[in-house]
Amino acid sequence: MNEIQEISNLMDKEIEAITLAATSHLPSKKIGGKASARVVKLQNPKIITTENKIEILGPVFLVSVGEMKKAIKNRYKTPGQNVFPEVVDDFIFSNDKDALNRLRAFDSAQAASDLVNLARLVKVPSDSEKVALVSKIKPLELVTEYVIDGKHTSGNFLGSFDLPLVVMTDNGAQFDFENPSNVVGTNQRVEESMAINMNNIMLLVEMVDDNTIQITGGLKHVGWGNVMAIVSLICLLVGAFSFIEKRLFFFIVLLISGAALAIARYLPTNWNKEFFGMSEIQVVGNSYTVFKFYGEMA
Amino acid sequence: MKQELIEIAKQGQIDPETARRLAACMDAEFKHSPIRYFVSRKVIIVAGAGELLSIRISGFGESFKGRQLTCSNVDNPEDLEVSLAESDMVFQSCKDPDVLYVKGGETSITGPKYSDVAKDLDTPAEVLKILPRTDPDIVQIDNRIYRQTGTVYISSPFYVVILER
Repeated sequence: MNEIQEISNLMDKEIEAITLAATSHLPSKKIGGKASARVVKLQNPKIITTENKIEILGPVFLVSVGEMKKAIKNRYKTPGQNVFPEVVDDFIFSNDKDALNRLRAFDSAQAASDLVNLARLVKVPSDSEKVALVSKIKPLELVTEYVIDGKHTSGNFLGSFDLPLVVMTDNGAQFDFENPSNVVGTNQRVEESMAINMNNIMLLVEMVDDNTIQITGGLKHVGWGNVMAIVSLICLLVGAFSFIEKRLFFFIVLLISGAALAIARYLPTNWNKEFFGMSEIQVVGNSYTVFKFYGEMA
Repeated sequence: MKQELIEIAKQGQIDPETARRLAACMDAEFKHSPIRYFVSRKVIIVAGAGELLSIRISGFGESFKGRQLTCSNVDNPEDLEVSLAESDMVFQSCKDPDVLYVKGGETSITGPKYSDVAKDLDTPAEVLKILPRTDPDIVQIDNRIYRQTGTVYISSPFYVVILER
């Protein structure tokens, strides 16, 4: 049995003990269970991965890479049509140095710094299922000083981690747990969503529940747009059928009508932009870190 | 109702300022209040003479009893929201409209949940600082001023363009 599995079993026993004590009305601050959080703030944590043991001094934030990526995409926008979310993907996934050139007309030093740091945490889209420990969220600052397997390291960035992962601290932790959660405490604090301060905590990060999606927002008159697209398609199909049936007049009328509707709907003319609005990528939803934990509340 | 208010004001367990404010409303009339939502920096709730307040706080499984409840925001700039929607009857003092007499039901007081852990994840998008030279920095339309705008397109049957060089 590996170390993480042993810790997981220990946590199950502790949570069970808290659950059994919950009905005794004892004044205790013990709490535990399964929870989801967008970010966990930890002071001087110790981390156990399947490969390493890491210690970090100072405050750090445990956050899923997916949540961090969403935060950066939503942090900046370019005037007019917002291309920043596209630039983020181009920069980190295509290693496209030209991506930053798309921001060259702006004072993008802070955005570029955030992008470079984000690219150190994420290389491929599936990395969104990992978690990272960062020293600051805004602006994004990575952990550069830590002790790994007893050896002090300075200057190298602490990257993202595969799961499972154990994090513990006796110096304070803080997070908001979100639905769905299954938390019990011996003082009966069992709300499904609350902000919580811990004196000490042991948590096992089990998975990332990624509900973030990219949508194209800013569209007006969506219904009209769909009608135009469908009518255009029907006109072109019936026009093609008329051509087969050698009905030249219908063919020409339907071809012109279908083409005109398609052009009006999809050609990026001033009229099109005004009527349908500027399309803009938005990232919505959350990428929760799902963990099992127990500890004592502050 | 008046007798009950007099007894509440006479109670030694509430603070003098609240007692004085209550006593000042004794002679004035109370009217039925159709408004059930209020916002306030500070909320004081005082129990009737016979019964203590029964208080539940989200996050705590146990409930509390008390004579006077005071809720306020000190550092947080946002107001508290007081909902009397579940109350059976609400009467408002004609002399001091901020004094309400509530009968039955439940009153809730909400404020923003205290947490700053995720605030840096939620900062809204900011437009990158310097704009392309083709776009204006500030656009004023009547009294409204917009900064860091994108390209502006103007169309109208008639208009005048004046260049200042």
